[in-house]
Amino acid sequence: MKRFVNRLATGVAFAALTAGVASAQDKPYEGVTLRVLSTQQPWDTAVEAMIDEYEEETGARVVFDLYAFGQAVQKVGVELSTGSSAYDVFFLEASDVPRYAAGGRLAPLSVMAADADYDAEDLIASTREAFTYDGEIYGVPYFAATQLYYWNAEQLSEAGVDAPPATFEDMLAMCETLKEKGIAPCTALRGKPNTSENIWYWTQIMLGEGGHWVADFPNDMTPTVNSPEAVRAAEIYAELLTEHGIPGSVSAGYDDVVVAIQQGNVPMVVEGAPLAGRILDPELSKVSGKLGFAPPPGGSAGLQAPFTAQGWAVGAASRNLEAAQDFVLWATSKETVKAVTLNSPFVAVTRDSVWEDPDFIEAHGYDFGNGSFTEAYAEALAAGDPLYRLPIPEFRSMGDRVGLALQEIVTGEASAQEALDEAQEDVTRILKRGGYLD
Amino acid sequence: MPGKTNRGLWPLIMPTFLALVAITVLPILVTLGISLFYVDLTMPGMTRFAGLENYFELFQDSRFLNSLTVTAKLIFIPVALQIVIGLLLAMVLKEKLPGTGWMRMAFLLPAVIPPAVSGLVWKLFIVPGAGGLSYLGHVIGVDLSLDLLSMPGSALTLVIVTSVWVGTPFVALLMLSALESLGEEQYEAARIDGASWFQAHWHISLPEIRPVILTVAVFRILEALAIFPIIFVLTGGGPAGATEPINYYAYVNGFEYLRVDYAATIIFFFFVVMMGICSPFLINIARRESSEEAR
Repeated sequence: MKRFVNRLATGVAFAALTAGVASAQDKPYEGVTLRVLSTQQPWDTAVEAMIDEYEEETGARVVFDLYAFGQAVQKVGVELSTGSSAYDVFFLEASDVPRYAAGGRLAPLSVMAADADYDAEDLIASTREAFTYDGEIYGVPYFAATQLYYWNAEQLSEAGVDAPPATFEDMLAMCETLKEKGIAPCTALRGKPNTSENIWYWTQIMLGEGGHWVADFPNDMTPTVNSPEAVRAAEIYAELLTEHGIPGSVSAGYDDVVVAIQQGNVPMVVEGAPLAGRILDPELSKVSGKLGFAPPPGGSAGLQAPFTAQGWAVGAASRNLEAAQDFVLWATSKETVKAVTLNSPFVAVTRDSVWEDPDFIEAHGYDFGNGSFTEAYAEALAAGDPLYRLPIPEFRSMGDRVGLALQEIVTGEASAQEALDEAQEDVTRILKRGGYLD
Repeated sequence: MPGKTNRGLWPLIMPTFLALVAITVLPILVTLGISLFYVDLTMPGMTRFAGLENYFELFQDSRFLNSLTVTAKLIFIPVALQIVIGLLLAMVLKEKLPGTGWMRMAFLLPAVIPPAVSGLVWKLFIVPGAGGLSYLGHVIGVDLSLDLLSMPGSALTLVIVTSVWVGTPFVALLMLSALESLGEEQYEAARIDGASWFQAHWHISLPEIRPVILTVAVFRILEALAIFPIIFVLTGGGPAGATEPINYYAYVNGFEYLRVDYAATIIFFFFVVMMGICSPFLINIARRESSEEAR
């Protein structure tokens, strides 16, 4: 009996040992905890909801710390600039890549190019390039942002408007006509003073008018934020906001714009293409089935659609580099991206294959007879200016300064020329300090 | 000769003195030190000595110059209002009218609410179309759906009102305890001579509690910018920088633009200015206290 018990114990121990070895082989990151610092956007919450699958597959535990957008950007700045190892994976806007890559704060993600199954070439080229610094890729884009012109065709056709405006000047004239017919407010725009709100709008109007942030990036960094084109752009933006915008536009964010068009309070908006899922949310939207989609209006120099990409990067100080890279590749794989889009309102996809996927088109290929969403999105992305946001660390402070000038114009504190002349001086000072000007 | 007799007590005082130096003087010196360098947090090894460069930059920075003006408005207007309203409240509470007992408790409420929550309470109150202000307007039949945070003037006024709301109860309590320490005989004599309630306070209370008013004013000035959380929640410094005081601008530089050297410059400059303004009063208060002790 004793011998039997011994044999049984040996057998059980052997079985447990082999199972352990098999488990270690099957689950390469058993015992590893990965910390992700990101935003509370649909992408993040959808990936978080799917994380059991990854944890089961690899044995890693993934902890998400998700913050409101502005706070997330700020916390990422503090963590990365201090070289902290508290987080392994970071949310990153493409325009911030030079800020952290130049100082070695990000780990290169060249591993993705070597993984044939991952198919890095499938990522939209402009978004991939936006995360490349000095020939090395430092993050994986999962979010391709631009803007679209959303219009309530039913409401506008009754007022005799049946086509999208070609330029922002046309949009102004259209709003004047609607006002005369008693349809007001005509639109809603973001008004907060930063690179993601009022500057996001003003830049596209300015580029459309033929203006630029600087004389000739990167050869001549003399700022041109008070050029005639920039001043005209500020006037157009201010008139749209004050004369034709919703109440409280000065402090409006994208949530306010989404609600305005979603609830049928305004007949047209120029707003983020990735927000279509929320605008058409079947449980909340009063305009589902009525909206038309087109690329945003341009200017006298043509269409210059906004462009940025957001992605996940791995911190150079991470103690779990290999596991963190593996997680990022899993989260941005074709399969995961497709699953995220089918289970959430997320549509800002950076993978060509998903854009062409029949299931994705069925779920998000909105077309109510007044312009196809996916076609407008593709057209706007193709017209996106890669230098929409200058890829320099100082861009955020420059943008915020011009954003304040726009608020001065909107609130009547100063004329467009005065406010932008003063902003020009400050932007010159910021660029001098950064070593771009003598 | 108090100096000689106290000399042996230095070993006892030293730990407290060193702790105070560590938590007050040292951070100020470190801030001064950082402000004299060019620091790029994202580029390790790029720190270099910059001398007074950052200080020269301050005066070319229109956003900083604007924040100076906003700071002056956010310090002196609310403190003046807190002193006046606080004093009036204290005079009323001293009368021990029916209900003043629970009113003392009620006045304290704004002072015990965390500033960030105060900001949120006011934001919810004034939000156009859905807040308490709109509701009040609806009740009295007036359209009060005003977007007060969208215009520079009204946004600044709102921050000042919130600051007064938060700070006045504390001032009122200090004034009340000062008033209650005065003897009743002077007031009785004034009443017999035919002085009104207001005249009695004007000619007796105010001169008597003047040192208390001065002390309270100096400390309220020093604490005035502690409304940072209210601004953070209520206006974010906007619109158009109308509610962006110097400490908020320093925060933006330090945490959003990662310019810790410039943030340190702003803070140290502000420290020097505030000390310049308040030192004569603080020295005066200290001298008065030591002369009272000597008596």
